[in-house]
Amino acid sequence: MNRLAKKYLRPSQIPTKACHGCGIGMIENWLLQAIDEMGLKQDDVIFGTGIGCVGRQTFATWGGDNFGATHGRALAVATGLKLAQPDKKYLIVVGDGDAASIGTSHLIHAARRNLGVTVICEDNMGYESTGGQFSPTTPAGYVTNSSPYGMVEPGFDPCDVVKAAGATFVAETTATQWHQTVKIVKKALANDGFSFVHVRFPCNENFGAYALGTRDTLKNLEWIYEHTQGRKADGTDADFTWETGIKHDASNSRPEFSRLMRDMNARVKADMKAKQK
Amino acid sequence: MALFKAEKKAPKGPAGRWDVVIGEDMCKACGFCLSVCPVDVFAYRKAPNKIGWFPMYTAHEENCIGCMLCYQICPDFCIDVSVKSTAVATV
Repeated sequence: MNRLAKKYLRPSQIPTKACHGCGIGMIENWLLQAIDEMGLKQDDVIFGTGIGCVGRQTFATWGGDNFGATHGRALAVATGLKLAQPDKKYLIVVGDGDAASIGTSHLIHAARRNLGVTVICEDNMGYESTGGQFSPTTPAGYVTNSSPYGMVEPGFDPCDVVKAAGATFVAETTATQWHQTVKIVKKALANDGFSFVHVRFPCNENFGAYALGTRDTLKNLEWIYEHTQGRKADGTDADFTWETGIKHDASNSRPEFSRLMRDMNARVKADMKAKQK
Repeated sequence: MALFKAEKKAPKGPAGRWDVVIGEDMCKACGFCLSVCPVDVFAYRKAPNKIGWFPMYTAHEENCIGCMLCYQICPDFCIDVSVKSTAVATV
């Protein structure tokens, strides 16, 4: 176990529940680095998870306070917790199913309210824990279990959606960009408002097997790298490129939701006291 | 790919100062550490571990230059790289 896993995670959860070569563990390791560099302790962060590959693997790994919500509802639970305990940092680790399909309206309305949580959307481009069906973030044309002739529906970028809904920090990285991811997560945690970080990572067992035709861990991570750089190993252009980096940074520019609620609460209480006199 | 076809170099610079520890019981043999390591520290074991994979072990710890790439890329929290407590100065 590495030093950060010893410091922050529960030893009973390691070895992890992931398939071999899955990127979720890498990304969680980088989250731990960001938390450690910010000097946060176990008690300062509440870790929320949803359902799916990401929910199952990160569920109850954090040594401090955890919650596991139903599919897509991690942000609804986090809204209540944030109102009760506004001083904590909230790290909500969800997958593309949680964030971009069943939980989209929770995501949009949390962004609209500027709820002070950090959402890490770990995206493996499909519903891999149920056998590799396509999701709204599957790239067009790629074969999955439920689209054997290629994905015909156009894709969907969750970053654009949350930016339009009013999120104050939006960024995108992939599982080959450790340095950028740690820096971006630090900025996201420092933002007092809704932060959204979209991280794509490789799936070997389903997305790799159906769409890329291989379960070789190195080839799948290489595919992610090629589409991050926009260039293949032989020098030709990749079929598409993900735009990575910070997409929108308006940190601390809007009032945070739990503070607005507390201010309103105090104002109403003062009014009622004045009326009683 | 540049990530994995990083040029393998002969160990130079402050090698020999680093402690590379692998939790072999948690390793799932994805091979990422073997591929990113520029100085061939790792190798596969010939016998499986408790969870049924043929894990990595540190075959040539003395080559390590402390670049921390394996620490960053390991998806199972297995690898830790630190400065040896009794530092052997070899430059």
